[in-house]
Amino acid sequence: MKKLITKKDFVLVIIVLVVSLAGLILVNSADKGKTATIKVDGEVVETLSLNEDTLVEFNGVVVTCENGEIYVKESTCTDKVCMRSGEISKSGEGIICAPNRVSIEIDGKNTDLPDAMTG
Amino acid sequence: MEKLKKALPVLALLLVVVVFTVSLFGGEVKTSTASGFAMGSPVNVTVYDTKNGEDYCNQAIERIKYIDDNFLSHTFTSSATYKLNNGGTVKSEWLAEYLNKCFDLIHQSESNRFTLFSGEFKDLWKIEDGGYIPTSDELAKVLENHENSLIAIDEDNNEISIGTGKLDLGALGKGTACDEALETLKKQNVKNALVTVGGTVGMIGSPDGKSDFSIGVRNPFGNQNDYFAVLSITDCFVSTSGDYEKYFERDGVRYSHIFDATTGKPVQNDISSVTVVAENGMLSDFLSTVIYAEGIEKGVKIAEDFDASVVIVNKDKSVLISEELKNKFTLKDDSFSVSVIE
Amino acid sequence: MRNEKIKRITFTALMTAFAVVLSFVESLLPTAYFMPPGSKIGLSNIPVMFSASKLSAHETMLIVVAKSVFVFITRGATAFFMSLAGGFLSAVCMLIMLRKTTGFGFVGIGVLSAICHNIGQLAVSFFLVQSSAIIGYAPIMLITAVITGFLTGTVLRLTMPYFSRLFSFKEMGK
Repeated sequence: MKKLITKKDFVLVIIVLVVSLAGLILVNSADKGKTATIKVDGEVVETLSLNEDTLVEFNGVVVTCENGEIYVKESTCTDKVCMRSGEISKSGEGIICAPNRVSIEIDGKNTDLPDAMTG
Repeated sequence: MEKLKKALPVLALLLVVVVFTVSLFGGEVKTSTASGFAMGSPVNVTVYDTKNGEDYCNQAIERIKYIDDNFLSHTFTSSATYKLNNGGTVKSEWLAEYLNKCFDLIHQSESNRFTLFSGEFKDLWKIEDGGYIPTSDELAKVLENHENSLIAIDEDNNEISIGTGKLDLGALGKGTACDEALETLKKQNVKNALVTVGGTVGMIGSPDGKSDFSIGVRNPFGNQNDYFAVLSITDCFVSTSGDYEKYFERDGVRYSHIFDATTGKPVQNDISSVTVVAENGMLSDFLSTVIYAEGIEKGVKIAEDFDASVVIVNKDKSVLISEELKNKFTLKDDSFSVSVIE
Repeated sequence: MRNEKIKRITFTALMTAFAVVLSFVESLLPTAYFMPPGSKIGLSNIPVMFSASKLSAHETMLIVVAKSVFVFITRGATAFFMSLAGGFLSAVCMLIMLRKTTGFGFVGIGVLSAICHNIGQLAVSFFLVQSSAIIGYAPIMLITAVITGFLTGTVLRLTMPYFSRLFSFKEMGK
């Protein structure tokens, strides 16, 4: 019978951990985004400004923006993974609700929305 | 097993490298934001590329709330403004100094349409309460009260009292809040920051270490998020006064929240909105209101006297901008026509 | 010969029941606080892994499909497709890894099949929402795969001798 753990396993685990940590650092060191795009079935349905506190609903997914962070407040799906995904605010972060086919992504810096509004 | 033992030091080293990188990046300088609500408006503070930025943002918001709660709010019963409006006296070095600054500004602008005592006008016209057109008798009485709305500041012990009339520091409150917030941040050695209180914006440094801040100027004919132009500016304050903020309409006439102290009526002229770029928030707030109240001709002169730049939008969608803003102003909506003030 | 066939059918049925029960029990447990939302240990992978080492490829796939059908009944269509895609990919991974001499131990096989399981799920999610937001989930899912793969691999290694003693028959594909 095969061994429980071999050197190859060890190397594999280390490589996977290094790759995933690098990925995590990449996501976490990103700057806060300005806008978020909500898609249903891959089609853009709404672009939210993170500066505004809003609540929108698509396909049974209630998306809330508060204090520059977005989270899923309520969803009609069964697994509620989207609700437990927590708040996102950094460029490249996202939340998906696969059962309701809804996705939310924080847009990168290249949006030409101004830094602030006067008036 | 023998091989595994040989590999262990290498793997341990690898782990150390990973942990080290994580800790290095984890404590990295970052952009932080905090938001709140004060001066009747949403407040946002952003600090760029600073460690502990979140703490500084919260300190700035705390400072704004302190000023609002204790001095400028006319609704909180704990505030100095509320106490003064209800016959009380106030002893405060900060407020005495602040009011003196206000009077200096009014004096220097030579404006008689601007007033710190618009409280009774607002109540009479019920601007935020559905609107009401007062009779000439009602108007006369309020104007008389306004005439007697003296303010007395005892220079020795900073004791303040007012006559009739109601103090309303709302016109300058947002700018003052921006001033105070940025002062708080500067004390913490923050170099790059953006503060917005309602439509008033204060900024220092740069959002990315290179470029200026981009500030959208609201389209007075569109909704809340529409901007018709962008200003690329930094190390300054921007305020906008417009007829779209708080108003009511009767028989096709728009009555907005800025009053002409000489008539006691909401200002009626060709201007839709005035945006002012100035060296401090109190000044930019003051100037945007004064220029809006005084109209284009006198308004432009006042701006020049105070070394401030303006973007004035008329009701016919023609836009006037100061010479200094020529290269910092980008039009985003072609239905507006822009000309530079000579 | 007939006896052998009955044995195999019984064993397949038993492993299916195991997988279904473990998958159900796991859905009742809350997610551990240090794990990302919605992640599961994947206990039901243990009987699948065991089947992959003792039964034929199509018998293993039968268990995967049966488990997914159960998921469909309890948790709906999306979960079904995710379970099917993830289960299929990880079963393929297990079948190859357990039968070939690759130098990987049980932990390595557990981790790799967990990664395959996640890839299958992410692929279905991507197909459903068509958004790059999925990519953000990848690093955390890899870390989860390491933890869960380690657990399932270890549990399988520890229980293998008992399972083997209970059911001894001609191994396929060796």
